Amino acid sequence: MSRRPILTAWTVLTAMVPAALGASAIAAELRARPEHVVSMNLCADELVLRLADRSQVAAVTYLASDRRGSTVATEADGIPVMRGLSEEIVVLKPDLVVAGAFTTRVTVGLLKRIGFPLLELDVPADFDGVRRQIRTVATALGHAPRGEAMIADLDARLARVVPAARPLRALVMRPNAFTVAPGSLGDAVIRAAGLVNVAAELGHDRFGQVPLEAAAFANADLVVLDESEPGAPSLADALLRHPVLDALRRQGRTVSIPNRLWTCPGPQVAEVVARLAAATRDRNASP
Amino acid sequence: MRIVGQTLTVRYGSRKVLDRVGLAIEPGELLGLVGPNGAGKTTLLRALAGLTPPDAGRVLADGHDLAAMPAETRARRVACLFQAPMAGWPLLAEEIVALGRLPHRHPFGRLAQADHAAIERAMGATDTLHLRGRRDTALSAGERMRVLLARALAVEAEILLADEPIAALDPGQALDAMALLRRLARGGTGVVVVLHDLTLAARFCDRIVVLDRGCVAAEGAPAVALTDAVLRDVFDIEVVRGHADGDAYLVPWVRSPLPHAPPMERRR
Amino acid sequence: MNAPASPIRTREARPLGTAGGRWLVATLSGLVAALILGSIAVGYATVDLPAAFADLVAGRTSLPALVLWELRIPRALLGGLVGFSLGLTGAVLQGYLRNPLADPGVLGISSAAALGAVATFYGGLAASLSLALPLGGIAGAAVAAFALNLLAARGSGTLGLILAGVGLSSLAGALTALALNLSPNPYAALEIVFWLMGSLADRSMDHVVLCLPLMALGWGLMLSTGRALDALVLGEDTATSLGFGLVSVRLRIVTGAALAVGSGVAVSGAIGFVGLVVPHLVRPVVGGRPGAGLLPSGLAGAALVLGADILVRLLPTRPELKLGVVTALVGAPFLVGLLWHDRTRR
Repeated sequence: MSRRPILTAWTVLTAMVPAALGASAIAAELRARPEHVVSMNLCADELVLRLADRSQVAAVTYLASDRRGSTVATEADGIPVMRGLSEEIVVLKPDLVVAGAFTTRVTVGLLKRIGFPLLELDVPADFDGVRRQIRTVATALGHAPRGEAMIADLDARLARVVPAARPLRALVMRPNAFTVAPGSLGDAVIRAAGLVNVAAELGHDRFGQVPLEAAAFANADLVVLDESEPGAPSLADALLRHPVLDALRRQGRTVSIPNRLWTCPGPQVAEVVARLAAATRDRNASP
Repeated sequence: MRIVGQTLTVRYGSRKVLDRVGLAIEPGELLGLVGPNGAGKTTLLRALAGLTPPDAGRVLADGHDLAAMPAETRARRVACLFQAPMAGWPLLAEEIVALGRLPHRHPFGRLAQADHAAIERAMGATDTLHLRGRRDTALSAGERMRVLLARALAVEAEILLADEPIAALDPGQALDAMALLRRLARGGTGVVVVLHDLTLAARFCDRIVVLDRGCVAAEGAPAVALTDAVLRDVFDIEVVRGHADGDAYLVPWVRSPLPHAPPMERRR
Repeated sequence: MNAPASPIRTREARPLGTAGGRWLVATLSGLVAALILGSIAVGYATVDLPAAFADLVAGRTSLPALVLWELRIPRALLGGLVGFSLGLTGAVLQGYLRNPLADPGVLGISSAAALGAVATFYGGLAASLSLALPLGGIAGAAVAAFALNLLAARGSGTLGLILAGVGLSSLAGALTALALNLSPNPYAALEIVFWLMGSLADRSMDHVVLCLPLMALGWGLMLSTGRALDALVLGEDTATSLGFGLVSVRLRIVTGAALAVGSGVAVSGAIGFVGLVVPHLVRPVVGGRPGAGLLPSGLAGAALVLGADILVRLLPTRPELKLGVVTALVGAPFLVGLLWHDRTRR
């Protein structure tokens, strides 16, 4: 799927903020605070659960309650979950559906045709994008001040981070050897911590996968992995326990940061910046 | 080696295919096994070869239980020729004959001088030397039968059990093959051959066993075993008899008249 | 025929087709060795191989030595091992079932092995006991091989066995997909491609150590049936009369195929068509005798998988193609051709 039309749509959208939140959403927005909000995507779940009143949330995705992948597992406790199927959503009679721009496209298309008020979230590529998205969702939920507070919190946490004095080379290895592509939010996070994203130098494929031996030879000072308990096994996770990465581990060149902290745009990405900067300071301190 | 089957009984399910059959194979003797289809000839051959363990009775080789003989030893001493399906792989005729030497070879060892010699002898005896480089798929039915006979001969065993070895041969080749089997017997081998051709059986075999519905109906020299009464009773046929070159011959001529007919119903 | 037995003459020129076989084995061994070296040389990063080798031999844990020992060499070795297993098993199965279409992939043995490996791996067994992974694959392969054996013993013909294999493959594939979908790990569901198409990417020396002894045992069992397979050309009765115990032969083949294919699939996924194609490629040289084709088929299988694995790394498609894609591109037309030939022959 091409990103370009969606980005274009986003530009149009933001130009009209806060008056317009997508054509179909306008009416709902002007009416009142939505009372039956359904979120269809993990990143939407995180923002909705943090910004809305609990009573406003009709359902979130089943991913929100997965402690390994979600930062809002506690908040999701007791909230009905669903899998993003049209039928599940229609019976909830939502007055706002928050969906991702790249996920559950069939359902979103159907909901559009039926005429449910819909807010589509794209994938921000920098901190400004994060701020915009927080603001958009907060406004749509009728809690614009909470959005502003969250943005202020994010900015305060970012301001506290002391970037690394000497820029180190960092390579992120996620399950299946996926890395953080240049031009993404993750890339912005790495740069904010004062690091150089090595992935930019590597010939990665269109999915952002890095061959293990290319990673080994990338000469990264810091290899960023998620070393938390993997839960159920998969080949994708097993790859990160390959002897080649183990060798880097033994050299103290790895740093563990839970992937859930920067899977989605939100205030928690500041935490990643802080942890990366701290790891860099440690690494710079050790000979 | 002398092989004796004692009161052999073989059942396939509830059906008795062999019912207390006794039979002895003597060295130097050509024994013909005849009988209508379904009489149990092939089963008897398999039992004598040790391939079908009898449900009752036993097979003795020189007084010892054949079943207790190691398979490799048995394979060297008792050669079998069964009606085989198409090989499926395009083996050379020579390679097929060489299979007869498998019981003589060491595991993973190559063909020894003696093996080559035995292969040559077997192919020479069956007039198949000119076919040695021919693929199995390019052989006629008669050529193939002779190659398979050569395969069995190449074992150079003391006993040869052959199931219808002349079925696909033309009259000349059939005569050759029977003469060869008789020559083999004269050399000391005990030969059992299942035959449908009563004329050739009577002409070449030293002894005939007539099998009918799993039992031995008659046994003895051809003149003793293949009497008019036995042939009428077992095969439902009348034969014409005569003499040629001082030997007696018989030729199946007509179906027996009533009251023996119809044969199909009589058999039930 | 009544002519006197021809004088015995020794034929030194060609002792019954073994010369062609020996020549082929020597050539293929050389080819496999060259491809293993080639496979070690090809990769995604430039490695100073001589220096890496020097480090490795000297026991220095440099990065190039590490990449060589834990990525390049295991990948090359596994390509050879898995290919040899598949080629040898194909040749043994074709000989035993007297069926030119027999192949661990076509008969569903590979997919069943993948199912067994998936069950142990995603069930978490392999995490606590690494040997559980190959054992799971072996168990799956054994069940499939045994089931096909029963079917063959009941007299199913060529096409009957192939149909049973197709059914078994689909069933095992479906159950694999089910098992992966049931896994709570979000990545698991995407990994069916690996299990059904096979890949050697990013394997390690641990995988080699895990499957090599089991595979070697399987090879030994299968190679020991060469003589019996020759005898079986003439049918089961004749083979028995030549001193071969069919129960023992069947047991060795089922166990050997399960060990070799099961442990291979457990580390590389199911790579199709190798066992189907290579016996037909070596047959024109070594002749139709099944026993003569075993070792050459194994070597040709190793060469085919190594070649395919080098190809997927040289092709510009990223992520790299699964091995099964390449082998299927060669094998599927071959299978159709064989079926066509088989159909027109009868």
